[in-house]
Amino acid sequence: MTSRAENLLNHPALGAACRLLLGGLFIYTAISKLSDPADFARFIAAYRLLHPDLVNLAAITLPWIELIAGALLVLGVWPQSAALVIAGMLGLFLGAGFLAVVRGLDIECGCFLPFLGSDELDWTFFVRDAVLLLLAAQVWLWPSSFLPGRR
Amino acid sequence: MALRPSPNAARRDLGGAILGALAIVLGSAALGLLVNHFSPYGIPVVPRTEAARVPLPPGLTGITVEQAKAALEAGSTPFLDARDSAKYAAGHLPGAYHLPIAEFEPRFLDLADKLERAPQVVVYCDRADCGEAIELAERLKEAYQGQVLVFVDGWNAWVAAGYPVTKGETP
Repeated sequence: MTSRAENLLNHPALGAACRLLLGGLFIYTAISKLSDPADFARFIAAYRLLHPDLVNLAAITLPWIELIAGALLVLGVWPQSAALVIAGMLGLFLGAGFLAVVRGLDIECGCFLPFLGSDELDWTFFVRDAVLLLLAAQVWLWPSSFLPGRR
Repeated sequence: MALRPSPNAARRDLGGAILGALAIVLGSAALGLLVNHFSPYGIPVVPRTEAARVPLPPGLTGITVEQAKAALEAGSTPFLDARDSAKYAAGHLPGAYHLPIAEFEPRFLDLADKLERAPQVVVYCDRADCGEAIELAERLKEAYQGQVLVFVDGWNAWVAAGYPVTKGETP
């Protein structure tokens, strides 16, 4: 990599922007899901990936993992760990969406991001999640923080 | 090189980062379970019955695709299709009546004779998260005396199971 490109990629402003955007999005969607776990469980059930006994457990815990990981990312506390958790969830969502499309399920995404494309499992879903994965990769490679004494 | 400290640090910290990630996942999940336990909006962690695996509003009972088939074959339970006219015409459960929420009142009056003799009815829409069936069930609770069952997985599950269907306009 040229040092110019690397200068750009590890620029503190870019790191802060990635953390704020990614963390902020996860906090936002988590709050939408937290307000109605029964509704979120219906979205998860529609994917038909989890055993029925595990659907509610996922609906109860996933939004909290999103919320905490998002908050840690925004603050820059354990930024690499938070980025890893978020990348893992994005990978999970991408895989679930891919399987739903492959199996021909006519379901809504359940992404709770009304301002970023439709809630259908169309190309915007895959592009959006792939871009968010890139933001997580930036944080993983060049972790930064707003807290004093961290970089 | 001075510009590469972070990637090197990342490699050194891989174990720590993974441990931290695990801590975030487990801690958040525990917090979620705790909050769910005390929240008025909390849902059961493990649904008690197969039929209740998708949480429904209080007072509604869910049934599975197998239970729906058994009820349909028994013949005494009216089925109500909550989807729109185009979907109903394209295919519905054999013998199901069309009762979309948008036309609830006139159609419910037409169906009243058939429904009032039945101790229970089954409502369905496309799938677990389509919402129309639950909305219809809530309306029926006010207008209908018997038990309202929600065929949770609905039309998509019925088709996926390979069960028979009927096409055409409302009977």
